[in-house]
Amino acid sequence: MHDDGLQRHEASRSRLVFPMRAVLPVSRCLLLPLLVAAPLSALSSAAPHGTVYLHDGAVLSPLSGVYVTAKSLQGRLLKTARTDDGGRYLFAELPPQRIVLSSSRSGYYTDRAAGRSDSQVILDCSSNCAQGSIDFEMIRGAVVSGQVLDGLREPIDRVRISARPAAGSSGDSAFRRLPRSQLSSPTTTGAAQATTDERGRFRLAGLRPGVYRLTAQASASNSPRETRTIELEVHDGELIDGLTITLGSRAVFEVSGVLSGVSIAPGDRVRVRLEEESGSRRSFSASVTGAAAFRFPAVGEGRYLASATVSKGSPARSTRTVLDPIDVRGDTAGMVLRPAATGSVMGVVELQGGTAPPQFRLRLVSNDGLGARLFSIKPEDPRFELHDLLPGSYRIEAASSLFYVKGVRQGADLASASDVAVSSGSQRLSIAVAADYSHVYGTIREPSGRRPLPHPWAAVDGADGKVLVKADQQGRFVFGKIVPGEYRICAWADIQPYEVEDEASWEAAGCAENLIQVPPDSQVEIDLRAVP
Amino acid sequence: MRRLAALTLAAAALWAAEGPGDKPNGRISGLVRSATTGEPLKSVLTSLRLSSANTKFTRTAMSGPGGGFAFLGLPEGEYELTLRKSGYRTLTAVTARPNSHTGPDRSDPVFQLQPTGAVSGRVLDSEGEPVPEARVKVYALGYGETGAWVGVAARSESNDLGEYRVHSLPAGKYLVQVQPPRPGTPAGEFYAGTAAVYYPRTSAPSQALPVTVGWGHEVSGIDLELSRKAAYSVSGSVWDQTEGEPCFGCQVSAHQIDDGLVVDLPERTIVSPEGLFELHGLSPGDYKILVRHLDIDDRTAQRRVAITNRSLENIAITLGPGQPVWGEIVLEDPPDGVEPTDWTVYFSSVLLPSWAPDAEAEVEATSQFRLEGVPAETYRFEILGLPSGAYLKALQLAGQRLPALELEVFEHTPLLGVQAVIAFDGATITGHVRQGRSQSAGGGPIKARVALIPNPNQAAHLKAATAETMPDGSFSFDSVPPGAYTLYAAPSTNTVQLMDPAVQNALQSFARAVDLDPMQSVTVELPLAPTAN
Repeated sequence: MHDDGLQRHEASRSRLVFPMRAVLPVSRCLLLPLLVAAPLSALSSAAPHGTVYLHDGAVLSPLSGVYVTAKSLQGRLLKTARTDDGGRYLFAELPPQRIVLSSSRSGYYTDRAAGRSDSQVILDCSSNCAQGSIDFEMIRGAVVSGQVLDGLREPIDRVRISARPAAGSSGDSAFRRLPRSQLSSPTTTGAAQATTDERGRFRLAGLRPGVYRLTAQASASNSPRETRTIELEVHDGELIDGLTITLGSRAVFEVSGVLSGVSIAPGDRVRVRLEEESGSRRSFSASVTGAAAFRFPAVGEGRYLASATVSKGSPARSTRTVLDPIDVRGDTAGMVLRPAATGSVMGVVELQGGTAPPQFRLRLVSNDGLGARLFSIKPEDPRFELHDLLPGSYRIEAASSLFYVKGVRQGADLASASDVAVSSGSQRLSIAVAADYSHVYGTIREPSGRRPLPHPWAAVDGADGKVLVKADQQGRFVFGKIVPGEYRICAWADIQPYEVEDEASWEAAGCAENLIQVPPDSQVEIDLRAVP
Repeated sequence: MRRLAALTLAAAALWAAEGPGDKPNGRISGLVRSATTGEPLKSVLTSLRLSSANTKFTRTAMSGPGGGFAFLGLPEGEYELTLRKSGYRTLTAVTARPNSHTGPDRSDPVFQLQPTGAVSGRVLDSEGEPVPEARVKVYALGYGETGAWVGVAARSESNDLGEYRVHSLPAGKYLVQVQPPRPGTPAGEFYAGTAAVYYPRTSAPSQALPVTVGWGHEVSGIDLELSRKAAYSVSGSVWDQTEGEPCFGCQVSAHQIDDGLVVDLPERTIVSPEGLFELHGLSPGDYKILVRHLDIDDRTAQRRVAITNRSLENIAITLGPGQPVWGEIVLEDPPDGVEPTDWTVYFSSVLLPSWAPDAEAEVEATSQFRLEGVPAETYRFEILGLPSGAYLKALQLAGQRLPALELEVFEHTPLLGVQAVIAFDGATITGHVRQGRSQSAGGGPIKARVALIPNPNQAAHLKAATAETMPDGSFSFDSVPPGAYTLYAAPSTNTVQLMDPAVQNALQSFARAVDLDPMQSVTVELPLAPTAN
């Protein structure tokens, strides 16, 4: 029985390939073929009906309690049916228009619709809604449940738990231009959230497979007011139970010692500052006595960046010295804090395309959690110097959307990426930036090519990462301020945002090799046909 | 390694490290324990607020592993202490004054927190399938001097398995209700228009089986069935008579009225620009449809409707300026020199006290009273400021005595000629509450709540009343209409509801009956009911 079901679905995966859609390149546009999947094969004259299956490994079994919804292309809900014990559903009557059918059940996600790797099906009921069995396959998502405790192993209520796909995960929804409203439920984006009860317990269900960042954030009235994030990989149907997240659990230690290697004259006022390396901005400060001694009565466990500030005279003139980072793992007496062997980075910023903005605002960000340094320079004097940097790996980022970083040349090496290696001593850099953004725009039409399709999705993937936009009522879309380069491009009548991260979605849509070249400072018009 | 419970002790250490000097050195400390097990409670969030000065001086701390907490370095003054912990009832507004001890104090006060209860179960449909995302609401069932009432205590939603759990409930009686999933979701659309269901399986709150939750107890297995039975709608129009236009933007809500219980249902809607409204998901029964102007608080209107087996249409409601209510005070055998000066006539909504506005007017020297612009509603009639021994005995309209001390104001009809009869033969009850069944059983006075309940089948003006004992255990009721009553006493800290007929029945052996003649004074020694928390 189950084997039969699988075979039937395999058979229904075959599809027609429509001829390549003619496009209207206005400028320097290169278009490769778009593949458009077939409509559902007409099997009978019955009203829309079908079966929803639970896909569990190699086994398909009917799934009851699934809500199958019929919506208009504009997203207006028309009808809802629910599957019976046999997984069957039936719409007795639907209005004569194009209909989007989808299936949903809490804790599950739709893997295939009408034999295709999709979460929904578009039916054309405008003249005759006669369709055969329209089946869905759903997969039980992963469940993560557990408890949030404080440092004394006591439960914390009202802690908000959110699971978001980690960058690069199959469920990644970190699109630059995705409206926040799309990031709500696990069935659409892979994200989920819950709140702990008075026992500190929570449950997240229906997670798609992938790596998630699970964040626990205590509410404002809770104490400790702390946020903790862990990374977690889940698989289909997996139950991760008994996960314990601890807030405010960090041990607190007394740290004392002396400051060495920093010049201190009588009458100087000296303070030592510890800043948590994790970027939490939690910091501790202690004054240094005449014997160069310091004492922190209660410092949380962790790694800290350290610095000493010596203030002289009145008005005070302060000198800051970067000290070696410290690890706090227990009560420590006799710690010696010494100046760190820091490095400097200096160089120029070169504009390699586009019009220079009034100033370049850039950020040197540590890849090792050593913080970030923001700096600004003017185009007329593009030199910069950054001192007191702890050795390590850094990257250069644009802190403004007026330009982007094309690459960094360090010494004789030309790096296509923006990475910088900082060691003790001085390093020279040349940072190439550009402001020659381009625009890609056009119209998305129905698979038949006859009419513009209202509100489809379009995505590009290339030099500027993945960018997803939704077209307007007339199917018009714009990718504004795209970094020039090579992209592949695709359009879908509807797609779940997380699916755009999935290579299979591009392949299923026939867009895997659908490449366009976006020249610098250009406007590229391209018309697309959507995949149903 | 030292694990410090919170920043508290670190902060305390910092305070202490600053030394006595000129710094404030007051100290407030305590121990927190479970009221049921007596074990120390750690991680209790304690907050301190200086209440005796116009400052924003606040401190927070967490109790440590031994349940202790301490605030050091406090300036002089009176502080308000609040203790909060997940799963325990918050203890608020505890008054505390700092002392000057700096070391450990064996005489630290002990604060007891009650562990809260929970109700849990599953939401299923008529075929036994779990229903996720169903909205579960728990109503506290209370008993006051004017009868039973319900109020929303907590809410939750069923998870992907259809399981729900409503927590942080104080001990008490509760009605458990399930409503369909939110509109806009696939499940919500599937169940659109489905009426709310009360445990175990009824759409009438009076037929619901109350769930009794004890301190620290979870009542599980309270399964709810959501079925797509026929539900009805109420639709119509709302006209704003004052503005002379449709009441666009006014809020319309449905309140189920069932055998004395009034349940605020979630069904609410906003009147359309054309003045139309439609409420869905109503099961058969009596309802009050309430209209409120969202900008003008006292502009309301209400209409009582009964749904039997069909939806109601064309319900026309006018949001008018209200009607005048005029009347006079009639004094029955008054003592010499009594004048109705400084008396106030006070109207409060019988069914929707939290929704409908109150109304009041001073009684004039001529014994007349005039209230203007009173919205249509049924009001409880009271007179404030009566002298000792006086009470409201009856209401009369057109020479006829009304069955209750209530007045119904209609939408289009002025209410004139109301007579409020005041009698002066009220009795007085004084007494003491004693620990144990009788004075001889031992035990001294205790802080208690005393309930005075009129026996059944007497005149409507005999009303229930409650009083708190003084520190010496004494209590009193005056201006009590003559008649037969029963008195009960329970500890003030107890949540047992003495107005609950079931509780009264259980406490028969601790009750004291009094039969009051006109102007009689009686003294009662009342045993404290040994009710458990």
